Amino acid sequence: MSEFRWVILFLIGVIVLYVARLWLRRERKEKDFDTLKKDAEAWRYINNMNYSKKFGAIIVAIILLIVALPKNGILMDYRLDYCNDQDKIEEGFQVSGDIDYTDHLLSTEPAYINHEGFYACEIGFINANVKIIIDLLTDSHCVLPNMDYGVASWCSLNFLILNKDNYQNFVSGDNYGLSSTALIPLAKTWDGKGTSTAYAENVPLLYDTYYFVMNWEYRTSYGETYYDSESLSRDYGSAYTSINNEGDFNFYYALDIDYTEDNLKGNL
Amino acid sequence: MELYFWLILGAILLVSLTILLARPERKQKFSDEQGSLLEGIGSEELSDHDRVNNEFDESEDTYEKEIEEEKEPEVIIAEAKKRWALGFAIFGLVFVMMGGLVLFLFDFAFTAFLGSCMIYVGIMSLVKGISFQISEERVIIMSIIPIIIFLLNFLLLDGLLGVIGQSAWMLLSLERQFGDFVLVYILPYLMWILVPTFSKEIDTTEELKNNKDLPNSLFEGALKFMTFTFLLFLITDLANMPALRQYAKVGFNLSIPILGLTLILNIGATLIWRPKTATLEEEMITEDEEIALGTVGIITEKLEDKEI
Repeated sequence: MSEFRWVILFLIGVIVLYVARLWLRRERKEKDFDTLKKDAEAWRYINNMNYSKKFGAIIVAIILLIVALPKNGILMDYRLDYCNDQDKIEEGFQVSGDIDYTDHLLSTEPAYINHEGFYACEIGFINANVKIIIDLLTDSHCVLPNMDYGVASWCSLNFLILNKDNYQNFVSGDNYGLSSTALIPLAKTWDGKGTSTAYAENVPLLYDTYYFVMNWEYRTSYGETYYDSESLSRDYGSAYTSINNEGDFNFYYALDIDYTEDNLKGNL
Repeated sequence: MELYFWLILGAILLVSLTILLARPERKQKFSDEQGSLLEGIGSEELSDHDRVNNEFDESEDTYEKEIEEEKEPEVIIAEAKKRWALGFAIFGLVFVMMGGLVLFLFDFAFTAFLGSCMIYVGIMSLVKGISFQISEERVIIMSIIPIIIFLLNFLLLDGLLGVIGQSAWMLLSLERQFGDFVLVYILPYLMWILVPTFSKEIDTTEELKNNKDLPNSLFEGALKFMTFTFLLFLITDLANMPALRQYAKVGFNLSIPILGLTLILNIGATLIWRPKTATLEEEMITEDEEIALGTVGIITEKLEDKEI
């Protein structure tokens, strides 16, 4: 059972306990009602008012948490993780000299992806010319999980960098594309075996939020599904990367983004 | 590093001004001490004219004291508020002007940053000064002011100083992420919270309430923070404001575990801590509740009379 389900179970348990306690208190009050003075009852009424207010706030908070907590729930587009930064991974090693970057990548958490789904992470806000290197690695060969389609058995994973509008179009099944021609070298197809690298220099990423996307036959650039699937509706279970280590394929990745010399200090 | 230095300097100046204006008046203190020192010094060479003058002065003094004593607490609070507002406004305007002059006169990177910092501190001080003059009855305006301070703080830090929004969040080091979070969220909160207390009665009751139910106040704060960051996130996402959106997302992501923790803390405190203090709480009947009890008592007595 996933951690998230444990949290939900725990919260439900706490609510049940709280409600039971409230109910017991109320029953006790009703029993003592005749023995207590009527004036004292007024104080309790005020006290209960505070309790009900507090109880309402707790309920609201629980609802908010249930909605916001899961990373593949309703707010999945707002809960994307930030991408792995190559520089930070290297800092973790603290070793000088030439090191095989595969060691670096293997030290990160693997990203799990489902067929006809995608993996996405957020780079963040950029308004600058940058140099980007994308490194990919897998320790398992990618195989199509379902051969009923009657197509080739090799995997076709497209990775690319999208700005917010294009990412939203991609997710919702509309036409999408690259925001700059300089991003073309970074949009590649990977067969899901061994390693892959993409490099682009002096890429103008202007005033927008950017995402790294690994598209495993989720949508074509025209927003169409690959295998004439029934509908274009969003499948929350599989469209987004599984966070429960239950994906069809897993890979390691890192992005090395450096601001170019004309804006070394950061954004323009 | 210089960025944090100047920002901290500005914050220290604000706090110093707060302390300076909050302390009791020296004049009054001095005059009291002088009076006690001179007590017992007499002179037999005083003329009748002097005596009359002295008596007149004394009567004048006592009259002034009486007037001061007669002043209602509301008037005293209003006067104190005016002094605070004036102090912050003058301080703010002076800083803005000095910052402008520094920017105008010098052409170095350092002075440009210094001038921008001065303008930033000045504007924030000015807004704080304005907030003193808003009456507490205007709930909507009072609740908008912290949001204005937050947005203004962000705009100045981003647009004027250029110290935040310089890089994608994933590229920032952990220290820098913490620093940015402090600048965007903690700094405006401190600016808002470092407001002097004007009504002692209200504050003491609020303080008592907070002390009585600290987990609940923490929980309510977390709930407000989450609501605010989520709404900000939604708005910035729809309105295409990526710089602010980045920080709104960070705030929202952080608010989720904070809310979860405070919720558990609050429920735990209610379940474990409350039953023990329930009897104590019942003894602590406030003035309002006494009034409520009195009215209920009168009504019940009347009802009983009617029944009879």
